[in-house]
Formats: sequence, structure tokens, C-alpha cells
Amino acid sequence: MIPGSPKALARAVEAFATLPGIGPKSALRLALAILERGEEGARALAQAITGLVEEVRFCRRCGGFSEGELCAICTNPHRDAALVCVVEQPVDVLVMERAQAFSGTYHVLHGRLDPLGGVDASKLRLAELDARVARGVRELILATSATVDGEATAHFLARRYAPSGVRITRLARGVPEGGELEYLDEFTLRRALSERVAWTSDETAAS
Amino acid sequence: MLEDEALLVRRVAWRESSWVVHLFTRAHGRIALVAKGARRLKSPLRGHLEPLHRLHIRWRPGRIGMGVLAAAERHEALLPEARWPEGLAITAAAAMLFPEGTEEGFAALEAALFTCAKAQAPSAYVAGLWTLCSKAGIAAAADACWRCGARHDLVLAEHGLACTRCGTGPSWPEAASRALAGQTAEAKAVELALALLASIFAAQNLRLPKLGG
Repeated sequence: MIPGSPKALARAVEAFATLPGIGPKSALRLALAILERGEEGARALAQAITGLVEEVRFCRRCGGFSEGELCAICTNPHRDAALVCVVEQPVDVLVMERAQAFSGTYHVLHGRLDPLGGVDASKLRLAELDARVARGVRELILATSATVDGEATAHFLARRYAPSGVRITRLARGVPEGGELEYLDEFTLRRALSERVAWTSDETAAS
Repeated sequence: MLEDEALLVRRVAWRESSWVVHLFTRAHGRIALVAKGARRLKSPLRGHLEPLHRLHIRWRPGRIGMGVLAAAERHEALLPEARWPEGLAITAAAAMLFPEGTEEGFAALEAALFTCAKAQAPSAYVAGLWTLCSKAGIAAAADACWRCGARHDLVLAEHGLACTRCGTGPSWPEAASRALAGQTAEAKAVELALALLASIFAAQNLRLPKLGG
């Protein structure tokens, strides 16, 4: 900290610098910006931060972000509760919802299998998923990451729930929308080729 | 600059955007390197630093501390995707059995993953682990109690497997041996083999990694 700077400023800089992506210089800039905004601005920001930790919790059923016992998706009668998309983190639910293409519900594992990092199945929200599958799920969509850990988690889940007769699907992988082949990595290209889909002719599609 | 073939065995987040990676190399033993910026979205290392794949790496050895990973290229997977849960657990076991400074990790893990890939589905994990233990020199003969040498039925005791003659060491029923060789789909045999492996790991003060994490 700059010698002679007020203790409160030093404390604020130190607090900001603990956040991801914020170094000491950015932390100082943020602290000075708050000072410039005055008391009202600082209070609003403090209130927003306090509200974040006081009001946002995890849905009892799906494990996603929620303001009450159950989240807005789980309580929505128009969502198909028998269609469950399994994701790793609560933020993945927000990402999936951005696509506005899914009318089912979610289940957040709060992690993925990572034996090398010491994360085993007991650390994932599997008991809750077991209960949901037992109550009746038509399809489980495995939307875990396209990494070795994510893929291993998907295989683990598929083995666990296949005997219950539930339909198990996996998110497709391949060429992204607007992506040019020239810029694709070899792993994505290989996967896109091995999982290519049959061409539906325009006439068949139209009929 | 050094280069070698490698297998990733551990990855620890370091600072905001980097990894410290532990690798078994074919010619340089187990090494730990800093992969600077590898967690950034656009890092050329990002998609390559994955376990269960043959990697080709180049690094600058550190003068005092850890070396720095300069490049990594991911090649083929050592076992089919359906076996990746078993493969990860075997890799975690290898990371425990072959600490830094050991030379044999690469060959042992490669052989264990190969065994896992070839074994019958339910016994793939125990067969891979057994190969690993054999390569690490901590597996006993598979047809008799490893303490008293008696050949008889296995007894499941509180602490793991017990020999009915000497009461302490594990004995080896034929079923467990078949599971360790990856030649059975029988659940009971796999369970016995797992208990046996847990005893072997416990004797080394290690905990057998759970399948599925």
C-alpha cells in the first residue's frame, strides 16, 4: 500500500484484491471509484453485496441459485419436471437458460469427479438426484464439461442411472455456430467427424 | 529446453490462471512444472493438459525451484472413454504410489491403463490397480496368503481380508485372482479383489481411491 494512505482505503484495496481477476492496481482503482461516488453510491454497492450473500441460496431440489426453498425453474408448472439436465455448477443453469431452448428442469452436481484433485462421488449432489430419478424421470441430459473429468462424470452417471430405465442422453459436441473449420482445434474436429449426423434432405425436412 | 513423452497425474490450481502439473515422463521420472496461464480461455496449453492421454511436452528446468512448461501436445487416449472413471482412479493411485523422484511411474501407469482397457468391464478397475501394485513392487503372489503362504479360502474381516491360518495377512481365493487378472464379470470376485487391494494400500498407509472419484 502507498505509504501514508488512510487505513480505510488500505483495507478496501486489500478486500478488493482478494477477488478473482483483481490485482493491487485494479483494487486501488475500484476503491478510488467508490470514494468518488460518495456515500450514497457506496451504501448501494454495500447493500447489493450483502443482499447477494443473504438472499441467494441453493434450491433444495435442483441445487441451482434460488431466493427461496425452491428456485423459479423448479416451481414453474410449465417446465417438464421429468426431463432433467444435469450440470456441474449453478452458473451452468444460467448459461443453459440463455439459450432459451430447454423446457425441462436442472440438477446441479456442485462439482464433477476429479480423483486427481481428491473429489469423489460422495462430494457430488447424487443423493438428491437418486431421489428425483426414483420419483420418476423420463430423460437425463448429461451436460457435464467436455474434459476428461467431465466425460468420466458423464460415464459414471450413465452407469448409475441406466439400470433404472431412464433415457440417458449427452450434449452433442462439434463445430460451433459461426465457427470456421480453419480455426477449430483437432479434438473438436475429430469429435465432430466421429459423431457426424445423417443429412436430412430439404424435401424430407419440409414434408 | 527438455522434451519427453508424459502422462499427467496431478493438476493443482496455482495463482489466478496457472496450473502446477505433476507428470510421469518416460525418461525423466516424475516431475512438477508450472504451466503459466494454462487456465486462461485462450491458452495454447488449455485443451492439452488432460490425464489419460499421451502427452508430448517441452519444458525449461528450474534452476532452484520448479521448471516451467513451455509446450504440451495431447495425443491419443490410453483407454476408451467408457473406462475413463476407472482410468482416473488408477491415475490417482499411481500419483500416490510413485512420488517425486521415482523413475518407474510412466511405464507402470501406462501398463495399468492398458490392462484396464483390455479387462472385462466389472474387473477393469481392480485389474488395472493390480498391475500398478505389481509394478510398484507391493503386490504379493496371487495364489496364496502373502504372510504365511497358505492356500485356502478368503475371509472378509473388519480390517480387510484375513487369512484363516495366520489370521492377519490376506489370502487369495481363485475368484479374486480372476478379478485381478481382469477375467471375470462376477461382482463378488471384484468385491473380494477390491478388499484385497485396500489391504495392500492400507499396509502402505495409503487409501485406495474410490471408483467414481
